[in-house]
Amino acid sequence: MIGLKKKWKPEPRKIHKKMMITANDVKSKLIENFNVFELNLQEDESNPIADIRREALHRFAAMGFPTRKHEEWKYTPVSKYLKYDFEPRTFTDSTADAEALPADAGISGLRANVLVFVNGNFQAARSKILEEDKFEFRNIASAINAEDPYLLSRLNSVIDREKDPFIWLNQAYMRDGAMIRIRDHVKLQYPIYLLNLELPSKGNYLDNVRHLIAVGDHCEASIITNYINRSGEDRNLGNYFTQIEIGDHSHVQFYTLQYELGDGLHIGNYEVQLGTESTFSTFFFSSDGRLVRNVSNIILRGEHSEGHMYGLYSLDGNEHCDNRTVIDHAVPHCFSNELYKGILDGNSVGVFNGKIMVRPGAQKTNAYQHNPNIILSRGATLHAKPQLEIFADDVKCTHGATSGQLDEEHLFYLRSRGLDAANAKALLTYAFAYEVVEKVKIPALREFLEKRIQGKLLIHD
Amino acid sequence: MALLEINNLHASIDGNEILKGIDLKLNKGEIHAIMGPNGSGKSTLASIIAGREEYEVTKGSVLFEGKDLLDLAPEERAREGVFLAFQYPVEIPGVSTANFIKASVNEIRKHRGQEPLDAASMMRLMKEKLALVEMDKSFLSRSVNEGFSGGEKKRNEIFQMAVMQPKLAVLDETDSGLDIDALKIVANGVNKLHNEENAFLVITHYQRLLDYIVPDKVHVLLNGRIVKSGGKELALELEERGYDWIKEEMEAGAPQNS
Repeated sequence: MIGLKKKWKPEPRKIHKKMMITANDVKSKLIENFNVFELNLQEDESNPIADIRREALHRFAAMGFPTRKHEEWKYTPVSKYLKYDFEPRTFTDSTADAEALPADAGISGLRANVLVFVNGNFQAARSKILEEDKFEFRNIASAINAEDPYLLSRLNSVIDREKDPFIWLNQAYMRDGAMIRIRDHVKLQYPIYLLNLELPSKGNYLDNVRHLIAVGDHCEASIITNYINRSGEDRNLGNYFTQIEIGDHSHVQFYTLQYELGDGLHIGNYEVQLGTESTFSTFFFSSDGRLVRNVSNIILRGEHSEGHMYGLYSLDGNEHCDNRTVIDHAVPHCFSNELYKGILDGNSVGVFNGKIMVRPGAQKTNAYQHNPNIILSRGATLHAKPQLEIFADDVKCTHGATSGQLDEEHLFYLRSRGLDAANAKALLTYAFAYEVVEKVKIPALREFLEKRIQGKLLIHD
Repeated sequence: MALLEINNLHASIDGNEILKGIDLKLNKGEIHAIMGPNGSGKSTLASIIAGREEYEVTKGSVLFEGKDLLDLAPEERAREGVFLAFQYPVEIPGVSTANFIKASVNEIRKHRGQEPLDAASMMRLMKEKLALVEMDKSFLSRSVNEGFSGGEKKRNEIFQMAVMQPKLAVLDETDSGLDIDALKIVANGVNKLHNEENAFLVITHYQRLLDYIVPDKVHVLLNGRIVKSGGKELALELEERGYDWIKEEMEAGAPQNS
């Protein structure tokens, strides 16, 4: 009995206080321990990466983690979530290996060139490339050790004006990722599927993953990135930075899936550049995660190129999802279209910030943006901010954001035909979401999304 | 027992009384027409029967097969066999007509203790009923009413009615905005569906529809009350003389049933 009593004695308060960690502590510790990180990586001292990392660390140190005062982070108070000693991981957790990967890599019926990353580390044994002759793949860790010139040129191209500390954090601490180069005149038959898996492990980890994708001229390719966090906790911060460079006359679709992030924290930055007469379509499907932030920066560098941006965030509970897009019309005669749709339930928070930038001289630009939202509960919050920055006079640009409830007339119509209120709501919400899903060109992926959305909305057949 | 029995129904919206004491009895096998000028309360009556929630019933009752209809949610009324053909059918982008009809038919079947229809039987049923309103199969894959012409929307209502086989169908100005060909198609659909076991309440502005759907009774709704009831010839009289003579009759205190 005495023993039991002892066991149940609450811990003294003061220990809790001592354990409180702020974003500033996290930052200081990251900077202090950089040497240890470098030592653990065992990279060659003469490797140019050392300077690149130091420079990036410098910039990160100067910026620090964003606070609410940063306009770009106003509605996503990331510092609030940085309450553990996040340690940049330099090893592959052995416990991680035990968890089996789903046989179909998460999407049934999908045939793809599968590249698997577990806790930020490339897993050759779990990966499978079907079209080896069509593109080059190298994981970033080995490209770093080989001082790969393409890699170094891309790392050096991370532009000075970059104001996002997470990009610099990624650059300083990056460990692994995919480097993919698709040769000219290649049409991929199967998508490239980057499966980013965070598996449970003891500790608080920061995984900095870099994906570099280069698509040549006259190519066709689709790429899927799926983020799965099985740790189920907010003690894992995945910090991803993906750079995509597309040549001329190429057509690329890029799909991002965030359906299984648990309570994980996820930051994703995407930087895309397009050449002449090329088309790029992005899709962001977000439906999980304690904190998710997706920032896409798409630069149309060649004339007559097109950028299409689609997003669907359906949030519930305490999920927080922040989508930011910048479509940068740098040259004349380009087209861009954006459709981001939101469904917010529970106490979730959705943030949408879409910027259309038309540079001086980018005449004959056509740019459209639309962000409709459905708010299903009183507790849910949406912050939408469309932005136009136009420095040319012969352009057509429209933008709009709306938020509202489901249409009562629609609900009544369905109910008057015998559907109960819950089913009618689910059907209408699904229809709202489907406008984005139907744009997906890979059948297995489309089916996966249909099921996921129906599952979340509880539609029974 | 009447199929539909409305007793002293008073209803208001936003504090304005629209219906001021309606009495109406409709038996199985009957077709009744309700006519009246704009703002007389015709659509309000249809809405209350179907279960639109923005109207407040302040007095009276609506019984369907002896059950209190006002107690039931709109979907429960539909499952019991009440159907409203909307005056303005809504467009629902993204919901395919086929999926919607399928969900609807199976909800009604479930309520009646029947198994859901298998895909082939469902398709057969839909095709058969499409033919009735002379609609093409391609309608099924389109979103509900999206981009439909006025006539197509109304035919879609009759199509849904045919599929659902209600006991009581309320047609709320189904004839408005229809050309003569579409009007004939709609009327033909109603006549083919009409039998000894069901009943129709046809709400209309004009007598025209009643050339094709012959009512057993015609009621005149004026200022929230049924002020006159008669046979089908009353519709013709209204067409010829308008509504003013009835108003005058009322003011003169003439008998309300001819």
